[in-house]
Amino acid sequence: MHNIWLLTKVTFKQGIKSRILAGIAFLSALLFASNIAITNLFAIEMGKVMVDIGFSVLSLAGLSIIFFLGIGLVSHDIHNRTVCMVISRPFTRWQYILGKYGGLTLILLTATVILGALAILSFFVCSLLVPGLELPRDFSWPAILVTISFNFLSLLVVMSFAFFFTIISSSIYLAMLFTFCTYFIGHCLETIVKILQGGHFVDASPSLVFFLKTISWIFPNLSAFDLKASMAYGLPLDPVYLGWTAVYGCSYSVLMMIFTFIVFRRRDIC
Amino acid sequence: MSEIVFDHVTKSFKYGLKQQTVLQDLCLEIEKGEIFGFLGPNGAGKSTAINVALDFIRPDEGRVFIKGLPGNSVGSRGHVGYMPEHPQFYEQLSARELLCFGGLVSGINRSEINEHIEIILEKLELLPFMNRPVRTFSKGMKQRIGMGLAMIHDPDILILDEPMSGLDPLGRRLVTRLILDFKERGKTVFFSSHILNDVETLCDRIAILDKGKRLFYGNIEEFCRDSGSMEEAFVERITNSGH
Repeated sequence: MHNIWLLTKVTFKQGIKSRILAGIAFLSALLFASNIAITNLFAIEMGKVMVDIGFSVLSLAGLSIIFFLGIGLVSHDIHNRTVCMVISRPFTRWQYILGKYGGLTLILLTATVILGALAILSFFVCSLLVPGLELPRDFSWPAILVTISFNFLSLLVVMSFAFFFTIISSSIYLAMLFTFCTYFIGHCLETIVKILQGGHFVDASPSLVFFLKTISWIFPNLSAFDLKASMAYGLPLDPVYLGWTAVYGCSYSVLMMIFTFIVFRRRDIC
Repeated sequence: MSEIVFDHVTKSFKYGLKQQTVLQDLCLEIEKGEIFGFLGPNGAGKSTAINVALDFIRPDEGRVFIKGLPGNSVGSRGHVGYMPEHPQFYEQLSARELLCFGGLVSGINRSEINEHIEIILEKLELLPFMNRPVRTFSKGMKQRIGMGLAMIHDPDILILDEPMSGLDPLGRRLVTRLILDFKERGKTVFFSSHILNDVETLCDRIAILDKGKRLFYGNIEEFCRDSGSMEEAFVERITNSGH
């Protein structure tokens, strides 16, 4: 555990000192500030627009951190052989995997806390400055914290896939591509399967529906972590649903870490 | 018991459809307290042998033992300090942070680590640069930090891959002094090089590798016996092997 914590701290320091993170934070701050201007362009559903923009910026920033910083840090370790500096010491490969993932998680958590605070600030400022913006009757500020937490959890799942793809692929760009595909499929697949199964709009073949349902068992259902709509409309959040979704997210991340370790254990690293 | 043992190590790599054997039935034993030089032309398999010893790559056949422990065990690596040919670091960290990480992971107590760091940095003539990020270091300074990372936990065995690579004459003298100091304290040094002067100055015994095969294994006097100089003996040995 001591070694894992040491590598977690080193990875965190690397990330925090990185200019990429500063750039992402600066851009996100700008986009949050522009929330006021963009929300003003709408005449109706301004509360929903405000929340959508805020959480979209949060997701975009989180994905940017995963793609450019997370994949970058791990890829640098593997392809530049910095990992040899660690593995040449009394440091097992599974400790390396956990330490590195722990550091990336800490970076993402820090960024989520800061960007989440900026998001909440932008909502608050919008609610004061945007004329005609009315929050839904059952809107609750604590629900924003739950929504941010589940956004973070979905990013953790994506990051576990990013980590896995970086370890198995020989190119940083392939890892980014596979991770993006996973993110895209994770967000869209449930909706597509429901539409095809419903049969109201599209007449799809049973084999296609079966194929897509099989794919949905492999890729994570990231739309389950998206609580924006519930939060924006003041809809109640079911604690049982939230609990099982959290377990689902954590289980997926753990499973991907296990797969990553299985591959990394056998891999020649120099 | 020998400090490092290569026991019939064989390793091949696949390049497309072809398979290339990089190490062929390598057998070596490095004794305690000696400086052992591992020589060969570029692409001979020296770095591959070191990578197998440190479990970075897995041999197809054979095993490596370090102080009697399997080379792929975590315990064996506590006895080893390693410096690669082109050291790569977490460059956002300062020299102090990097050595702190290396030392703590290798088992140095937190209460003693700062003292160890200062001693090492002073030996490496890097004390004034302790708090600078490593990404601002020159190539020679990075090479010295790599040496520091290898030595921070005062291991019994140093494994160095081309330790003089990229160093100016002052840096080379510094590393030579450190290696000799290491030996005087009864430790073992195993280093690869293709610079014969360094090997001649430092080594007790050597092994010559070419295309993965061991061509010679013994002391320098024996190697140079039939030739005028080490360079002549080396060229003759490589040429006769069909290089």
